[in-house]
Amino acid sequence: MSLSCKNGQSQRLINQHPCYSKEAHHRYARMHLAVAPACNIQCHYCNRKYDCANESRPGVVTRLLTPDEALAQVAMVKTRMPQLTVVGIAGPGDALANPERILATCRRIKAEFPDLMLCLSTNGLELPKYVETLAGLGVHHVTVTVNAIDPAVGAHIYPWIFWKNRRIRGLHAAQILIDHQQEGIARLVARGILVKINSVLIPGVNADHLPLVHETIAGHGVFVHNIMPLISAPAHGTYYGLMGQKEPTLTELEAVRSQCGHVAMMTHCRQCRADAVGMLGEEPHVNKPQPSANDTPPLHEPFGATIVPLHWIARGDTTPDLESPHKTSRGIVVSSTLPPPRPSVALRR
Amino acid sequence: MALRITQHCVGCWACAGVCPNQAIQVVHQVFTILTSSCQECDGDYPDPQCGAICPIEEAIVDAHNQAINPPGSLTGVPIAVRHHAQSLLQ
Repeated sequence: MSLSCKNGQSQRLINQHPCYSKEAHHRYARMHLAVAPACNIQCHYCNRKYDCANESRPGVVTRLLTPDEALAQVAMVKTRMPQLTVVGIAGPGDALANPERILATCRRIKAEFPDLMLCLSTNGLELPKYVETLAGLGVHHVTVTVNAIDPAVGAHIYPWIFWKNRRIRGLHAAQILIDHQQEGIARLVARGILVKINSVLIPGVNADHLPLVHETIAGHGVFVHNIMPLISAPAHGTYYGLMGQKEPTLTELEAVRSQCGHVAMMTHCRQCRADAVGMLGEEPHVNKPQPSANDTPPLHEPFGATIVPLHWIARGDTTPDLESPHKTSRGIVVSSTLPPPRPSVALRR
Repeated sequence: MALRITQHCVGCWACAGVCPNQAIQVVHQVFTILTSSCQECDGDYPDPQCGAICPIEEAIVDAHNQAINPPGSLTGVPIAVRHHAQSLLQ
C-alpha cells in the first residue's frame, strides 16, 4: 500500500469512492462523464460502435459530452444527488487518448466543485506522459486496465495499438503497451495517486497468467485489484463475441481471484457503462433516452439500465422475475423496467 | 489526392485528434474530410494518420475508393464469420 493511504485525506479518498470501498458503494454515488470518445488501442473484447442504449457494459454510452456539457451535468447531478462523491472519466474510448477534452473537463470540475473526487480510467499507453499533469490537476484515483504483463499473452488480447503515429501490431505492440502500463503505474503510486488495476479474465488466454499480473502490480503498490469476467455476447459484435470465446464461469473467476492475495481484491464491480450515474447497481445512466412508440424492440431487455452484466442473466445464471425488482442469488438488484423515480431520474434526457 | 470517410464511420473522433491538417470536419456527428486540406499526410508521416488510428474497417478510403483498412485487417474477424453474424442479426 502506498504511503499516501495512511493519512486522513487518503482515507477519505478510499472510504467515499464506491469502486474502491465495498462499504462505500451502498452510501456514495459516482457519475461517469462520457467525454473521451477516441481510443488508441484495440482490445478483442471491445466493439468501438458504442452507441447502444440497451447494453450495460464498459465502453458503451448513448451520448458524448463536451467539457461544457460535462460540467453542467455534474452540476445537475450534484444538486439532486447529495451523495455524489466521485466524478470519473471512463470512456467510451480511452481517457488519455483524448487529452484536451479530459484535461479541460478535470480542470473545470476541480475549479467548480473542489470537494468532488476526480477519477479516470485508462489503458495506460499514454499514462507515463500524463502522470504529472494528472497529479497537478488533483486527480485522486486512476484505474489502469492490465490484462497481461507478458507480450506473448497480450498479443492475443490487443491486435494493434496506435503509437508514435503508426499502427503497430503483434508482440511489439503488446510490449509497448505493457511497458507503458507498468511505468505509468509505478509513477502514479510514487505521486501518491490511488491506483486500481482492472483485469479482464479471459479463459484460455490470460486466466493462468493473471496471478502473475497480480503479483507484479502488487509490487508497484497499487491499492486494489479488480479481476472482472469477460463479457463476450455475440450480439455485441466484439472479436471474442464473434469468434466464440467463452466467458468465465463464476467458479473460474473465483479460482483465479483466490490465487491473488497480495493486495485487496475488488469483488463488487458492476462493469458499468461509460455514462453510468448513481450508486453501483442501482441507478439508470443519465443519458438513457425516453422510449418512443417508433422504437424497435431492444435486443436485450434493458433491465432498467441497471449496471448488471446482461450476460449473467441471459445465460441463465440467475432467474430474474421480470414482473418486479428482486434480488438474484448473487444479491444484485435486477428490474425489468426503470426503477421508481428517484431524484436523478429526472435528469434523463 | 485526398482520403474520404465512408458510412462505416462510427464517429469515435480518433481521426480528428491526429490529423495534422485539421481536415476532419464534424457536423452533427457526421465526419467528413475536407478534400482541399487533405494530402493523405504525404510529407508529414509515413502513413495517413486517420487511417492509422481508425478502428473501423472500410471507414476510410483513398481517391480510388480502396479501403485503407480492408475487411478483417483490424479486428482479425474472418470475413465469413462477420457475414454470418450480420445475417443472424438481420
